[in-house]
Amino acid sequence: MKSKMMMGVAFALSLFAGVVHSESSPKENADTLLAQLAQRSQQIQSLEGTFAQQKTIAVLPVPLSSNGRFSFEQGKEVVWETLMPVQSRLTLTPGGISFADAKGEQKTPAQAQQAGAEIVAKIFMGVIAGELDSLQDYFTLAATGTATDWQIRLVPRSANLSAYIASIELRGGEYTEHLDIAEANGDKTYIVFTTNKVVRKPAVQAKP
Amino acid sequence: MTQAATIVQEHKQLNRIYALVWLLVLCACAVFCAREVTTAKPFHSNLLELLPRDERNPALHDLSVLLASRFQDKLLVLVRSDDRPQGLAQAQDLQARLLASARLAPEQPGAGLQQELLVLYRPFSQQLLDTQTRQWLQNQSPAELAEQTYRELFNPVAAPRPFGFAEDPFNLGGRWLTGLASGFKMQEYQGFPLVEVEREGSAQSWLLVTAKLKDSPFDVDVQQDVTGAVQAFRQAWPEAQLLTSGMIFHAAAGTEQATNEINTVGLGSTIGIIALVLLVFRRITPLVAVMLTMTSAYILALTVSLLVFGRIHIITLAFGSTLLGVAGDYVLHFLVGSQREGSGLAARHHLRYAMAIGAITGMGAYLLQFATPFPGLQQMAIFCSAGIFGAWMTVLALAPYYKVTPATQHMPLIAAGKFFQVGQWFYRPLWRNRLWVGIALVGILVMAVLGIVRGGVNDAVINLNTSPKALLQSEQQVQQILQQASVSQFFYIEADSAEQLLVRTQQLNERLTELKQDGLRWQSIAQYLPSAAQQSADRQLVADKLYGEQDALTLLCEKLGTQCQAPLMSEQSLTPTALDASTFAELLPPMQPQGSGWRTLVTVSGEVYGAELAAVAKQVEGVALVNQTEDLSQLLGRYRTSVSELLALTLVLLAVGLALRYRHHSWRMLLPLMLAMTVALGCAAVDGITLFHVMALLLVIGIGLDTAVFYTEGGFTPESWLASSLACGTSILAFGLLSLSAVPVLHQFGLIILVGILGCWLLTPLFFRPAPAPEL
Repeated sequence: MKSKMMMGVAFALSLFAGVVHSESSPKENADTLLAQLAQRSQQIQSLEGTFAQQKTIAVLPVPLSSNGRFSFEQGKEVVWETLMPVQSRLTLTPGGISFADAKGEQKTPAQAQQAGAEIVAKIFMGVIAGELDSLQDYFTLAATGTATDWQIRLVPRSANLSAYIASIELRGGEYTEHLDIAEANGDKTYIVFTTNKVVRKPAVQAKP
Repeated sequence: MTQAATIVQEHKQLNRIYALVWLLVLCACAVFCAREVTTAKPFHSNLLELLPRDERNPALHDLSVLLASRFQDKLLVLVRSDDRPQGLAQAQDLQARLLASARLAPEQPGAGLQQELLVLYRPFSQQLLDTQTRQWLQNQSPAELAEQTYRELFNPVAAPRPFGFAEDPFNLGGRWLTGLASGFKMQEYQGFPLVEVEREGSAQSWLLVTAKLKDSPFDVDVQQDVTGAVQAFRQAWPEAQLLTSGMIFHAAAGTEQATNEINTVGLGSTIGIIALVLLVFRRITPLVAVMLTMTSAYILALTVSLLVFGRIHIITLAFGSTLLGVAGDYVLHFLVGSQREGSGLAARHHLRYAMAIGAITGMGAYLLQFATPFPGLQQMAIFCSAGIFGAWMTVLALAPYYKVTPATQHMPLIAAGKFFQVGQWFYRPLWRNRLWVGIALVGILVMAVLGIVRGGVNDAVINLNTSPKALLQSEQQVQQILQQASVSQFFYIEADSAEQLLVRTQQLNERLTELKQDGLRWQSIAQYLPSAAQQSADRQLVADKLYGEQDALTLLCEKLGTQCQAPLMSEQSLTPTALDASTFAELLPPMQPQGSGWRTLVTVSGEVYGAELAAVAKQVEGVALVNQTEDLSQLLGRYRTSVSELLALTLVLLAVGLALRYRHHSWRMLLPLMLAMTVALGCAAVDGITLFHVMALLLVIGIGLDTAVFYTEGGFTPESWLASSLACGTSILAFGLLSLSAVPVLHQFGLIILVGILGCWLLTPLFFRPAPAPEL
C-alpha cells in the first residue's frame, strides 16, 4: 500500500522533464567540495546507524516523532526500519523496493509500478548513501562549507518534481548527520542520523 | 481575289490579337506563379490531404484526424544511452542542434503539468477514486483505514500529500494522481525523459529528445532544418543509435523522394524531347516552339491548380511532370504537319479537328478523375487538363508565326520518309498475314486476361504509403518503446450525453481490465474523469467510511492525539468542460459533442489483440473497434469498383461518339486501344490490380486515342507515323521514368500508361493498312 503511495513522487518524475538546468555561475569551490564528498561516500562499503525522525504536518499541533535504525551496503541495498511508534521495514535495492509491516507481510508494488518505485528507491538510496551522482539526475546540487562541516542543498530540476518536493537539505561532517525534506504542501521532515558502524572499501586509490 | 486578301488581312489581325492576348495571359500567369511560390509556399507533402474523407462517419473521421494531428507538430528522437554519460552528451548535442533552428521550439509537454493537475483535481479530491482505492475503502474497516494511514505518516519516502493533511487526511488526492501515472514508464535523467525497456532480450535505455515545430511539418524549410540537424548530429556521432518519430521525418522523406522524381521525370522527359526534336528537325526553331509550348502548359497548369486548390501536393507536381510529354504531343503533331503543309497556318487549318479532339479527349480523361473523391487525383486532374489546354492554345497562337522555308522543309520529310520505310518494313508482313496477326493478338489478349484473373485485386493501404521502410520501422520501434497509442486501431464510443458516454467508457475500462492481458495498455477519458454518478457514489462512500461519527478520521486523530475536522466536500462534480479547459486534455483521448450526442476514442497500445478487443467492443453498447487500416483498405476497394464502372461507361460513350463521327472506321480506333489497355492491365496485375491502375487506364484512353485520331484523319502516312511515334515516344519516356518511382501510386500510374501507350503506338498501325489507292 505504501509503496503505491510513494508512486506520487514517481508520477512527478515520470512525466516529461523540464528545461535542462544550467548553472550559470559554477562555483569552483562548491564543485570541488561536491566531488570530494562524492568520492568519500564511494569509499564506504557499508554503514549502520540509528535515526530519529520528526515530521511536521501543517495542521497538526505536535510534530510526529519516530525512530529506528538503518543500514546500507554500497550498491546493494538500503534497509530503513522504523521501530517506534510503529514497526515497519523498508528495503530498497537497485532492483526494486519491498516493504514489510509489523505482521511481517511482504508487499511489492505491481509490475507496472515497479519502474516508478525504482526512482523513489534511487532518490532515497542516493540521499542515505550519499550517491551524489544519481541525485544529480533529479536535482541540482549546491554544496557549501568544508569537508568536515558541509551542507548540500538539493533543488528539483523539473517542475513536476517540485510540485511535490520544495527542497532537500543534507548536512554532515564525516557522514550525513541531518536530512531536511521540505514538501511543497508545507509539511517538513527532519531526520537526525547517528552512524554506529562503518566498513570502508580497501583503499585502492586513496588520494590525499 | 481582293476579298480573299481582305479576309487574309483580317485573319492576320485576329491572329495577332489572339497571340498577343495569349502572351499577356501567360505572362500574368507566370508572375502570379512566381509570387505565389515565393510568398505562400504552396507545395506540401501531406499525404493525408490526398486521401478521401470517410463520408460514412464524419465524427469518427474528425476524431481520428485530431488524434493524428497531435503527432504532426512535434518530433521525437530516442537516443540509445546504455552508456549514460555518453548518451546524455549525445542527447544534449542533438537537442542543441535542433533548437538552433528558429523554426523549432523546446517541447515540454509535462513541464508544469503536475501543478495544473493539482489545480484541476484539488476541489474534487474527496470524490475521485480509482478502482483500487474504492476497493480499499470498501473492504477495510474504519479502524484499519485509520491504522494504515497513521503508519504511512512515518514512512520517510512515502506519501507525497499534494493537498495536505487538513484538506485530505487520507491522501485520496495522492492516490488518485498516482493511479493516473500507472501507465507511464518514463523516468528523468538530467532533464531528459529516460525510458528503460527490455527488448530483443536485453535491457535498453533510451533518452528522449523532443522539439515542437512552429510551422507545419510539410513546410520545406522546417524539413531542411530538422534533417540538417539530424544529419550533422549523425556525422558528429557516427556510433550513436537513433530512433526517430514524427510526421516531419516522413514529410521530409516524401519531399526528398518527390523532388528526386520531379527531377528525374522532368529532366529525363525534357532531354528526351529535345533530343527527338533535334534528331527529326535538325533546327532550333522547332525546338523553341516545343519548349515554349511545354513551358506555357506548365505555367497554366500551375496557375489554375493554385487558384483552385491554394496548395499543391508534391506528388501532383511529380505526376504533372508527365504533362511535359503530353504537351509535347500537340506541338509535335503540329510541327510535323507544318512541314508537310509548308506553313504553320496551313497546318493549323488542316489539323484543327484532330488537335481539338485530341486536346478535348485528353482533358476529358483527366477531368474524369476530378469526379473521384480523392483530393490528390482531383489535383492531378486539374493540373494536367489545364496544362493540355495551355499547350493547345499555345500551338494555336503560335501557328501563324511558324514559317517553314523550302530549304528546311526537306529535312524532316527525309527523316519522316526514312522512318516511314522502317515502319512499312515492320508492318507490311503483318498486314499481309492478317490471320496470324489475329491469332497472335488473341493469344496476347488471352494471356493478359489470364494475368488479370490471376493477379486479382489489391486494396492494401501500403499502396498509399510514401515513406521508406527504414523510417516506418524506426517509427514503430519508438511507438513500442514509448508505448504510444496506436493511431490505426482504437475504440470509438458514442452516446446521447456526456454522462452516458463516460458510463460506457468506464464499462469498457472494466471489460478491458477483465481481459488481464499484460501487454495491453489503453487510455480512456473515463480514467481521468469518472461519470457524475460515479463521483457522487464515491463521495457518499468517502463520507460514510472516513468522516462519519466514530469513523476512520476520528480514530486516526485519536492516534495522533489531536482533534480533527472532516474536510469540506465538494457538492459539484468534475465536468468534461473543466477537464477540456486544461492543457492536460491535449494528452488525453479526445471527447467531443457531435450533433445531439457525444463521441470519444479509447486508444490502445502495446500488444494488441484484435479478436479479443473486437469481442470486448460487442459487450458494451455504443462501442465499436475501429481499424483504420482495414477501413481505408475497404474504401480503396469501393473506389476501385466505382472507378471501374466509370471506365466502362467512358468506353461505351466513346464507342458511341466515335461511331457517330467516324462511322465504320470507329472499330479500328477502339480495338487497338482496348487491346493495349488489356495488355497494360495484365502486366500491372502481378501484385493485384489497384485503384490507381484503373485510374491510369482513363489516361491511356485520352493519350492513346490521339494516335488513332491522327491515323484516321490522315491514314498511315510518313507524317502520321512520325508524329504518332514522336508523341508516343515522349509520353513513353515520361511515364516510363514515372514507372520507376518508389512511390507506389506513381509507379502504378506510370506502368499502366507506359505499357498502354506502347501498345497503342505499336498496335494502332496494324488496323490502318494503307488503301491500295490512297484517298486524298
